[in-house]
Amino acid sequence: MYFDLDDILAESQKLTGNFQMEVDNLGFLMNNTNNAKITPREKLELPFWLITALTFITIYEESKGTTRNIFSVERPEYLSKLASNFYKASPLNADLSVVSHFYKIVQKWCDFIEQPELVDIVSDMLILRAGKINDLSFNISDSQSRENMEFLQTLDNHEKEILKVTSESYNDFKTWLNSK
Amino acid sequence: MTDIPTLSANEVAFLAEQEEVFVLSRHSLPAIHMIGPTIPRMQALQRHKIPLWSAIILKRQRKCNIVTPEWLSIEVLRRAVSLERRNPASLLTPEQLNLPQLWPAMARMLLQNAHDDLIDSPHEIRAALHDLQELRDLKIHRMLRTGTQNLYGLSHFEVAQLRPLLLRQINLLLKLNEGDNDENENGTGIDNGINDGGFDNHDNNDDNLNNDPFDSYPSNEEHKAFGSSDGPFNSLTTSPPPFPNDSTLIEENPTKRRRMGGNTAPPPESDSDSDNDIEFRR
Repeated sequence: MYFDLDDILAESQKLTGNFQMEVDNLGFLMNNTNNAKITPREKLELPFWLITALTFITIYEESKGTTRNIFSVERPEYLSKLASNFYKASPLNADLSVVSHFYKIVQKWCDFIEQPELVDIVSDMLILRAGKINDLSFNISDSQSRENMEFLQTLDNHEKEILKVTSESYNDFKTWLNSK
Repeated sequence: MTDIPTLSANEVAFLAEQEEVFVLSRHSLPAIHMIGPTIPRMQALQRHKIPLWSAIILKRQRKCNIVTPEWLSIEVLRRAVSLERRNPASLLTPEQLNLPQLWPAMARMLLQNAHDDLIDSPHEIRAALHDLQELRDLKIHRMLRTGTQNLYGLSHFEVAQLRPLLLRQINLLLKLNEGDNDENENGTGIDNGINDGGFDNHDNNDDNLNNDPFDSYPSNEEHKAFGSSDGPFNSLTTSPPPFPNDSTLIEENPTKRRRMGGNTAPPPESDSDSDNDIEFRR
Protein backbone atom coordinates (compact mmCIF):
# COMPACT_ATOMS: atom_id res chain seq x y z
CA MET A 1 0.00 0.00 0.00
CA TYR A 2 2.93 2.33 0.45
CA PHE A 3 3.44 3.66 -3.02
CA ASP A 4 1.58 6.89 -2.62
CA LEU A 5 3.03 9.75 -0.65
CA ASP A 6 -0.45 10.88 0.32
CA ASP A 7 -1.11 7.44 1.73
CA ILE A 8 1.90 7.73 4.00
CA LEU A 9 0.92 11.21 5.11
CA ALA A 10 -2.63 10.11 5.77
CA GLU A 11 -1.51 7.14 7.81
CA SER A 12 0.75 9.30 9.93
CA GLN A 13 -2.20 11.39 11.12
CA LYS A 14 -2.38 11.04 14.87
CA LEU A 15 -5.37 9.71 16.72
CA THR A 16 -5.86 9.44 20.47
CA GLY A 17 -6.34 6.24 22.34
CA ASN A 18 -5.21 4.41 25.41
CA PHE A 19 -3.76 1.07 26.37
CA GLN A 20 -6.12 -1.31 28.11
CA MET A 21 -3.43 -2.53 30.47
CA GLU A 22 -0.15 -1.41 31.89
CA VAL A 23 2.67 -1.73 29.42
CA ASP A 24 6.33 -1.52 30.22
CA ASN A 25 9.22 -0.07 28.29
CA LEU A 26 7.12 1.95 25.89
CA GLY A 27 7.80 5.32 27.47
CA PHE A 28 9.23 6.66 24.22
CA LEU A 29 5.72 6.74 22.80
CA MET A 30 4.95 9.52 25.24
CA ASN A 31 8.27 11.34 25.10
CA ASN A 32 9.25 9.74 28.36
CA THR A 33 12.29 7.67 29.26
CA ASN A 34 12.47 4.42 27.44
CA ASN A 35 11.63 2.14 30.31
CA ALA A 36 8.72 4.11 31.73
CA LYS A 37 5.35 2.50 32.15
CA ILE A 38 2.18 3.52 30.39
CA THR A 39 -0.98 3.01 32.39
CA PRO A 40 -4.51 2.60 30.98
CA ARG A 41 -5.45 6.01 32.30
CA GLU A 42 -2.93 7.83 30.17
CA LYS A 43 -4.14 8.93 26.78
CA LEU A 44 -1.63 9.08 24.02
CA GLU A 45 -1.55 10.28 20.45
CA LEU A 46 -0.25 7.73 18.02
CA PRO A 47 -0.06 7.67 14.25
CA PHE A 48 -2.81 5.81 12.50
CA TRP A 49 -0.60 3.03 11.12
CA LEU A 50 0.64 2.16 14.60
CA ILE A 51 -2.87 2.15 15.99
CA THR A 52 -4.12 -0.26 13.33
CA ALA A 53 -1.27 -2.58 14.15
CA LEU A 54 -1.82 -2.31 17.89
CA THR A 55 -5.53 -2.99 17.77
CA PHE A 56 -4.96 -6.30 16.05
CA ILE A 57 -3.06 -7.55 19.07
CA THR A 58 -5.29 -9.40 21.49
CA ILE A 59 -4.43 -10.96 24.80
CA TYR A 60 -5.96 -14.09 26.21
CA GLU A 61 -6.64 -13.89 29.91
CA GLU A 62 -6.59 -17.36 31.41
CA SER A 63 -8.24 -16.33 34.66
CA LYS A 64 -11.36 -15.02 32.94
CA GLY A 65 -11.13 -17.13 29.80
CA THR A 66 -11.67 -14.12 27.56
CA THR A 67 -9.62 -12.26 25.03
CA ARG A 68 -9.25 -8.53 24.91
CA ASN A 69 -7.44 -5.94 22.92
CA ILE A 70 -4.46 -4.22 24.37
CA PHE A 71 -5.26 -0.89 22.78
CA SER A 72 -8.44 1.04 22.18
CA VAL A 73 -8.76 4.06 19.98
CA GLU A 74 -11.10 6.99 20.29
CA ARG A 75 -13.19 8.07 17.37
CA PRO A 76 -11.77 11.35 16.16
CA GLU A 77 -14.12 14.30 16.31
CA TYR A 78 -14.33 14.77 12.56
CA LEU A 79 -15.71 11.24 12.17
CA SER A 80 -18.23 11.46 15.00
CA LYS A 81 -21.98 11.14 14.57
CA LEU A 82 -22.30 14.88 15.06
CA ALA A 83 -19.76 15.65 12.38
CA SER A 84 -21.31 13.23 9.91
CA ASN A 85 -24.72 14.78 10.49
CA PHE A 86 -23.15 18.08 9.64
CA TYR A 87 -21.59 16.64 6.47
CA LYS A 88 -25.00 15.36 5.51
CA ALA A 89 -26.79 18.61 6.20
CA SER A 90 -24.40 21.07 4.62
CA PRO A 91 -21.69 19.31 2.67
CA LEU A 92 -20.49 22.50 1.04
CA ASN A 93 -19.81 24.18 4.37
CA ALA A 94 -17.82 21.40 5.98
CA ASP A 95 -14.27 22.46 6.64
CA LEU A 96 -12.11 19.56 5.53
CA SER A 97 -8.87 21.49 5.40
CA VAL A 98 -8.39 20.83 9.12
CA VAL A 99 -7.82 17.18 8.32
CA SER A 100 -5.62 17.46 5.30
CA HIS A 101 -6.24 13.93 4.02
CA PHE A 102 -9.86 13.65 5.01
CA TYR A 103 -11.05 11.16 2.38
CA LYS A 104 -8.05 8.91 2.76
CA ILE A 105 -8.53 8.79 6.50
CA VAL A 106 -12.23 8.04 6.13
CA GLN A 107 -11.34 5.27 3.72
CA LYS A 108 -8.77 3.76 6.10
CA TRP A 109 -10.99 4.21 9.10
CA CYS A 110 -13.80 2.41 7.34
CA ASP A 111 -11.49 -0.40 6.27
CA PHE A 112 -10.72 -0.74 9.92
CA ILE A 113 -14.20 -0.40 11.42
CA GLU A 114 -17.09 -1.07 9.12
CA GLN A 115 -19.34 1.94 8.75
CA PRO A 116 -21.62 1.92 5.75
CA GLU A 117 -23.55 5.04 6.82
CA LEU A 118 -20.42 7.09 7.15
CA VAL A 119 -19.21 5.88 3.76
CA ASP A 120 -22.53 6.81 2.17
CA ILE A 121 -22.56 10.24 3.73
CA VAL A 122 -18.97 10.93 2.77
CA SER A 123 -19.50 9.65 -0.78
CA ASP A 124 -22.48 11.94 -1.22
CA MET A 125 -20.49 14.79 0.19
CA LEU A 126 -17.61 14.08 -2.16
CA ILE A 127 -19.89 14.01 -5.19
CA LEU A 128 -21.51 17.31 -4.29
CA ARG A 129 -18.25 19.02 -3.46
CA ALA A 130 -16.51 17.70 -6.56
CA GLY A 131 -19.40 18.99 -8.66
CA LYS A 132 -18.93 22.39 -7.14
CA ILE A 133 -15.17 22.24 -7.63
CA ASN A 134 -15.74 21.31 -11.24
CA ASP A 135 -18.01 24.31 -11.74
CA LEU A 136 -15.50 26.61 -10.14
CA SER A 137 -12.57 25.34 -12.15
CA PHE A 138 -14.57 25.68 -15.36
CA ASN A 139 -15.35 29.28 -14.56
CA ILE A 140 -12.34 30.58 -12.73
CA SER A 141 -13.75 34.09 -12.44
CA ASP A 142 -16.55 32.73 -10.25
CA SER A 143 -14.08 31.74 -7.59
CA GLN A 144 -13.47 35.37 -6.69
CA SER A 145 -16.78 35.78 -4.90
CA ARG A 146 -16.60 35.70 -1.14
CA GLU A 147 -18.68 32.59 -0.71
CA ASN A 148 -16.61 30.64 -3.20
CA MET A 149 -13.34 31.89 -1.78
CA GLU A 150 -14.45 30.55 1.57
CA PHE A 151 -15.38 27.25 0.01
CA LEU A 152 -11.98 26.94 -1.61
CA GLN A 153 -10.38 27.41 1.78
CA THR A 154 -12.08 24.30 3.11
CA LEU A 155 -10.82 21.80 0.57
CA ASP A 156 -8.90 18.74 1.65
CA ASN A 157 -5.86 17.51 -0.26
CA HIS A 158 -7.74 15.29 -2.65
CA GLU A 159 -10.12 18.09 -3.52
CA LYS A 160 -7.28 20.51 -4.02
CA GLU A 161 -5.76 18.08 -6.47
CA ILE A 162 -9.08 17.76 -8.28
CA LEU A 163 -9.32 21.53 -8.46
CA LYS A 164 -5.81 21.76 -9.82
CA VAL A 165 -6.10 19.09 -12.49
CA THR A 166 -9.56 20.13 -13.67
CA SER A 167 -8.57 23.79 -13.94
CA GLU A 168 -5.49 22.76 -15.88
CA SER A 169 -7.48 20.52 -18.16
CA TYR A 170 -10.18 23.11 -18.92
CA ASN A 171 -7.58 25.78 -19.38
CA ASP A 172 -5.60 23.60 -21.75
CA PHE A 173 -8.62 22.90 -23.92
CA LYS A 174 -9.89 26.46 -23.84
CA THR A 175 -6.58 27.96 -24.87
CA TRP A 176 -6.21 25.41 -27.62
CA LEU A 177 -9.71 26.02 -28.97
CA ASN A 178 -9.20 29.78 -28.96
CA SER A 179 -5.63 29.84 -30.23
CA LYS A 180 -4.89 31.11 -33.68
CA MET B 1 -1.68 9.64 -8.13
CA THR B 2 0.09 11.93 -10.53
CA ASP B 3 0.56 9.27 -13.17
CA ILE B 4 -3.12 9.01 -14.02
CA PRO B 5 -3.24 8.89 -17.80
CA THR B 6 -4.88 11.87 -19.41
CA LEU B 7 -5.00 13.39 -22.84
CA SER B 8 -3.87 16.94 -23.36
CA ALA B 9 -5.58 19.24 -25.82
CA ASN B 10 -2.75 18.73 -28.30
CA GLU B 11 -3.08 14.97 -28.12
CA VAL B 12 -6.80 15.25 -28.74
CA ALA B 13 -6.04 17.50 -31.70
CA PHE B 14 -3.68 14.84 -33.00
CA LEU B 15 -6.46 12.26 -32.81
CA ALA B 16 -8.85 14.61 -34.54
CA GLU B 17 -6.36 15.05 -37.36
CA GLN B 18 -6.55 11.35 -38.11
CA GLU B 19 -10.21 11.58 -39.04
CA GLU B 20 -10.79 11.41 -42.76
CA VAL B 21 -12.32 14.12 -44.87
CA PHE B 22 -13.10 14.48 -48.56
CA VAL B 23 -10.99 16.83 -50.61
CA LEU B 24 -11.38 18.12 -54.11
CA SER B 25 -7.94 18.06 -55.60
CA ARG B 26 -6.83 20.88 -57.88
CA HIS B 27 -3.76 19.14 -59.23
CA SER B 28 -2.85 15.59 -60.01
CA LEU B 29 -0.61 14.28 -57.28
CA PRO B 30 1.20 10.96 -56.95
CA ALA B 31 0.29 8.58 -54.14
CA ILE B 32 2.29 8.91 -50.92
CA HIS B 33 3.06 5.71 -49.03
CA MET B 34 3.68 6.14 -45.34
CA ILE B 35 3.96 3.96 -42.27
CA GLY B 36 0.43 4.85 -41.34
CA PRO B 37 -2.15 5.66 -43.94
CA THR B 38 -1.46 5.77 -47.65
CA ILE B 39 -2.52 8.92 -49.39
CA PRO B 40 -3.97 7.82 -52.69
CA ARG B 41 -2.95 9.12 -56.08
CA MET B 42 -5.00 12.20 -56.68
CA GLN B 43 -6.48 13.37 -59.93
CA ALA B 44 -7.51 16.91 -60.54
CA LEU B 45 -11.10 17.80 -59.71
CA GLN B 46 -11.92 14.46 -58.16
CA ARG B 47 -13.05 13.68 -54.64
CA HIS B 48 -10.58 11.79 -52.46
CA LYS B 49 -10.78 10.67 -48.86
CA ILE B 50 -7.63 11.58 -46.92
CA PRO B 51 -6.78 12.27 -43.27
CA LEU B 52 -7.54 15.75 -42.02
CA TRP B 53 -3.91 16.62 -41.34
CA SER B 54 -2.83 15.96 -44.92
CA ALA B 55 -5.89 17.79 -46.20
CA ILE B 56 -4.85 20.83 -44.17
CA ILE B 57 -1.30 20.71 -45.53
CA LEU B 58 -2.52 20.42 -49.12
CA LYS B 59 -5.01 23.17 -48.53
CA ARG B 60 -2.28 25.47 -47.28
CA GLN B 61 -0.31 24.73 -50.42
CA ARG B 62 -3.45 25.54 -52.42
CA LYS B 63 -3.46 22.09 -53.94
CA CYS B 64 -6.96 21.13 -52.90
CA ASN B 65 -10.28 22.30 -51.56
CA ILE B 66 -11.74 20.59 -48.52
CA VAL B 67 -15.27 19.36 -49.03
CA THR B 68 -17.25 20.56 -46.01
CA PRO B 69 -18.35 17.55 -43.99
CA GLU B 70 -22.09 17.16 -43.74
CA TRP B 71 -22.19 17.83 -40.05
CA LEU B 72 -20.41 21.17 -40.25
CA SER B 73 -23.46 23.00 -41.47
CA ILE B 74 -25.88 25.39 -39.87
CA GLU B 75 -28.70 22.95 -40.41
CA VAL B 76 -27.13 20.03 -38.53
CA LEU B 77 -25.76 22.20 -35.75
CA ARG B 78 -29.01 24.08 -35.18
CA ARG B 79 -30.87 20.79 -35.16
CA ALA B 80 -28.41 19.49 -32.57
CA VAL B 81 -28.97 22.55 -30.40
CA SER B 82 -32.73 22.17 -30.52
CA LEU B 83 -32.47 18.43 -29.82
CA GLU B 84 -30.37 19.16 -26.77
CA ARG B 85 -32.89 21.74 -25.62
CA ARG B 86 -35.74 19.30 -25.99
CA ASN B 87 -33.97 16.82 -23.71
CA PRO B 88 -32.96 18.86 -20.70
CA ALA B 89 -32.63 15.79 -18.50
CA SER B 90 -30.03 13.85 -20.45
CA LEU B 91 -27.09 14.35 -22.72
CA LEU B 92 -27.44 13.11 -26.26
CA THR B 93 -24.68 11.06 -27.79
CA PRO B 94 -22.75 12.55 -30.71
CA GLU B 95 -24.28 9.86 -32.92
CA GLN B 96 -27.75 11.07 -32.06
CA LEU B 97 -26.69 14.57 -33.02
CA ASN B 98 -25.00 13.38 -36.24
CA LEU B 99 -21.66 14.73 -35.09
CA PRO B 100 -18.25 13.05 -35.01
CA GLN B 101 -16.78 12.19 -31.60
CA LEU B 102 -14.17 14.93 -31.71
CA TRP B 103 -16.38 17.56 -33.27
CA PRO B 104 -15.11 20.62 -31.36
CA ALA B 105 -11.54 19.92 -32.37
CA MET B 106 -12.35 19.06 -35.98
CA ALA B 107 -14.62 22.06 -36.34
CA ARG B 108 -11.94 24.34 -35.02
CA MET B 109 -9.33 23.07 -37.46
CA LEU B 110 -11.68 23.22 -40.41
CA LEU B 111 -12.87 26.72 -39.53
CA GLN B 112 -9.32 27.87 -39.14
CA ASN B 113 -7.79 26.35 -42.24
CA ALA B 114 -10.62 26.02 -44.69
CA HIS B 115 -13.09 28.78 -43.87
CA ASP B 116 -13.32 29.74 -47.53
CA ASP B 117 -14.45 26.23 -48.47
CA LEU B 118 -17.41 26.17 -46.11
CA ILE B 119 -20.88 26.30 -47.57
CA ASP B 120 -22.48 28.23 -44.73
CA SER B 121 -21.00 31.41 -43.38
CA PRO B 122 -18.22 30.67 -40.90
CA HIS B 123 -19.39 33.07 -38.22
CA GLU B 124 -22.84 31.53 -38.14
CA ILE B 125 -21.26 28.10 -37.81
CA ARG B 126 -19.08 29.40 -35.02
CA ALA B 127 -22.09 30.79 -33.20
CA ALA B 128 -24.01 27.53 -33.55
CA LEU B 129 -20.99 25.52 -32.37
CA HIS B 130 -20.61 27.85 -29.44
CA ASP B 131 -24.26 27.47 -28.46
CA LEU B 132 -24.09 23.71 -28.68
CA GLN B 133 -20.91 23.50 -26.67
CA GLU B 134 -22.24 25.80 -23.98
CA LEU B 135 -25.46 23.88 -23.70
CA ARG B 136 -23.66 20.56 -23.36
CA ASP B 137 -21.16 21.94 -20.86
CA LEU B 138 -24.02 23.21 -18.74
CA LYS B 139 -25.66 19.78 -18.76
CA ILE B 140 -22.43 17.99 -17.94
CA HIS B 141 -21.78 20.26 -15.00
CA ARG B 142 -25.26 19.70 -13.71
CA MET B 143 -24.86 15.93 -14.06
CA LEU B 144 -21.57 15.96 -12.20
CA ARG B 145 -23.21 17.61 -9.25
CA THR B 146 -25.41 14.53 -8.83
CA GLY B 147 -22.69 11.93 -9.17
CA THR B 148 -20.60 10.10 -11.68
CA GLN B 149 -22.93 7.19 -12.37
CA ASN B 150 -25.27 8.82 -14.86
CA LEU B 151 -22.81 10.35 -17.26
CA TYR B 152 -24.03 9.02 -20.57
CA GLY B 153 -23.73 10.58 -23.96
CA LEU B 154 -20.37 12.25 -23.54
CA SER B 155 -18.37 12.68 -26.71
CA HIS B 156 -14.73 11.63 -26.74
CA PHE B 157 -13.71 15.26 -26.66
CA GLU B 158 -15.68 15.88 -23.49
CA VAL B 159 -14.38 12.70 -21.92
CA ALA B 160 -10.84 13.88 -22.56
CA GLN B 161 -11.63 17.14 -20.83
CA LEU B 162 -13.23 15.49 -17.83
CA ARG B 163 -10.88 12.57 -17.43
CA PRO B 164 -8.56 14.10 -14.80
CA LEU B 165 -11.55 14.79 -12.59
CA LEU B 166 -13.51 11.63 -13.28
CA LEU B 167 -10.68 9.16 -12.76
CA ARG B 168 -9.74 10.61 -9.41
CA GLN B 169 -13.33 10.85 -8.34
CA ILE B 170 -14.21 7.29 -9.34
CA ASN B 171 -11.04 5.86 -7.83
CA LEU B 172 -11.76 7.51 -4.51
CA LEU B 173 -15.42 6.50 -4.49
CA LEU B 174 -14.43 2.93 -5.25
CA LYS B 175 -11.87 2.92 -2.47
CA LEU B 176 -14.35 4.40 -0.02
CA ASN B 177 -17.02 1.89 -0.89
CA GLU B 178 -14.97 -1.24 -1.21
CA GLY B 179 -14.58 -1.54 2.58
CA ASP B 180 -18.23 -2.48 2.87
CA ASN B 181 -18.02 -4.88 0.01
CA ASP B 182 -15.17 -6.83 1.53
CA GLU B 183 -17.03 -7.56 4.70
CA ASN B 184 -20.45 -8.62 3.48
CA GLU B 185 -21.23 -10.32 0.25
CA ASN B 186 -24.33 -8.31 -0.49
CA GLY B 187 -22.42 -5.14 0.11
CA THR B 188 -24.49 -2.10 -0.50
CA GLY B 189 -21.44 -0.16 -1.52
CA ILE B 190 -20.63 -1.15 -5.05
CA ASP B 191 -23.04 -1.99 -7.79
CA ASN B 192 -23.03 -5.43 -9.31
CA GLY B 193 -21.63 -3.94 -12.46
CA ILE B 194 -18.30 -3.80 -10.71
CA ASN B 195 -18.37 -7.40 -9.58
CA ASP B 196 -19.17 -8.58 -13.07
CA GLY B 197 -15.88 -7.03 -14.05
CA GLY B 198 -14.15 -10.15 -12.78
CA PHE B 199 -12.74 -9.35 -9.39
CA ASP B 200 -15.38 -10.91 -7.21
CA ASN B 201 -12.75 -12.98 -5.47
CA HIS B 202 -13.71 -11.86 -1.98
CA ASP B 203 -16.20 -14.68 -1.70
CA ASN B 204 -13.75 -17.21 -0.30
CA ASN B 205 -12.75 -14.88 2.47
CA ASP B 206 -16.20 -14.08 3.63
CA ASP B 207 -16.70 -17.21 5.72
CA ASN B 208 -13.57 -16.65 7.71
CA LEU B 209 -14.18 -13.04 8.43
CA ASN B 210 -15.32 -12.30 11.89
CA ASN B 211 -17.93 -9.69 12.52
CA ASP B 212 -15.82 -7.71 14.88
CA PRO B 213 -12.61 -6.54 13.30
CA PHE B 214 -11.21 -5.66 16.72
CA ASP B 215 -11.34 -9.11 18.17
CA SER B 216 -9.68 -11.39 15.74
CA TYR B 217 -8.64 -10.21 12.40
CA PRO B 218 -5.94 -12.56 11.18
CA SER B 219 -3.16 -10.64 9.58
CA ASN B 220 -3.03 -12.74 6.43
CA GLU B 221 -6.68 -11.97 5.82
CA GLU B 222 -5.73 -8.39 5.80
CA HIS B 223 -3.19 -9.03 3.09
CA LYS B 224 -5.71 -10.83 0.99
CA ALA B 225 -8.15 -8.03 1.36
CA PHE B 226 -5.56 -5.51 0.35
CA GLY B 227 -4.34 -7.65 -2.50
CA SER B 228 -7.73 -8.15 -4.00
CA SER B 229 -8.65 -4.56 -3.45
CA ASP B 230 -5.73 -3.49 -5.58
CA GLY B 231 -7.42 -4.97 -8.62
CA PRO B 232 -10.12 -2.43 -9.27
CA PHE B 233 -7.89 0.62 -9.17
CA ASN B 234 -5.19 -0.82 -11.31
CA SER B 235 -7.62 -2.03 -13.89
CA LEU B 236 -9.35 1.29 -13.73
CA THR B 237 -6.34 3.47 -14.07
CA THR B 238 -4.85 1.47 -16.88
CA SER B 239 -8.09 0.74 -18.66
CA PRO B 240 -9.00 2.61 -21.80
CA PRO B 241 -10.79 5.90 -21.36
CA PRO B 242 -14.10 5.53 -19.57
CA PHE B 243 -16.31 6.08 -22.52
CA PRO B 244 -19.97 6.34 -21.72
CA ASN B 245 -21.02 2.74 -22.15
CA ASP B 246 -18.15 1.41 -20.09
CA SER B 247 -19.58 -0.63 -17.26
CA THR B 248 -16.84 0.56 -14.94
CA LEU B 249 -18.53 3.91 -14.87
CA ILE B 250 -21.31 2.46 -12.80
CA GLU B 251 -20.29 2.65 -9.22
CA GLU B 252 -22.14 2.62 -5.93
CA ASN B 253 -25.86 2.27 -5.64
CA PRO B 254 -27.79 4.96 -7.36
CA THR B 255 -28.12 7.97 -5.14
CA LYS B 256 -31.16 10.08 -5.44
CA ARG B 257 -31.07 11.68 -8.82
CA ARG B 258 -31.82 15.29 -8.88
CA ARG B 259 -34.05 15.87 -11.84
CA MET B 260 -33.47 18.94 -13.77
CA GLY B 261 -36.71 20.82 -13.37
CA GLY B 262 -38.29 23.54 -15.38
CA ASN B 263 -36.04 26.14 -13.86
CA THR B 264 -33.16 24.83 -15.90
CA ALA B 265 -33.97 26.87 -18.93
CA PRO B 266 -31.29 26.59 -21.60
CA PRO B 267 -29.31 29.73 -22.19
CA PRO B 268 -30.99 32.14 -24.56
CA GLU B 269 -29.58 32.13 -28.03
CA SER B 270 -27.27 35.03 -27.73
CA ASP B 271 -26.82 37.42 -30.59
CA SER B 272 -23.76 38.84 -28.97
CA ASP B 273 -21.91 35.62 -29.73
CA SER B 274 -22.21 36.00 -33.44
CA ASP B 275 -21.13 39.62 -33.15
CA ASN B 276 -18.07 38.57 -31.26
CA ASP B 277 -17.30 36.04 -33.89
CA ILE B 278 -17.40 38.60 -36.63
CA GLU B 279 -14.95 40.69 -34.69
CA PHE B 280 -12.86 37.65 -34.06
CA ARG B 281 -12.63 36.94 -37.74
CA ARG B 282 -11.49 40.43 -38.56
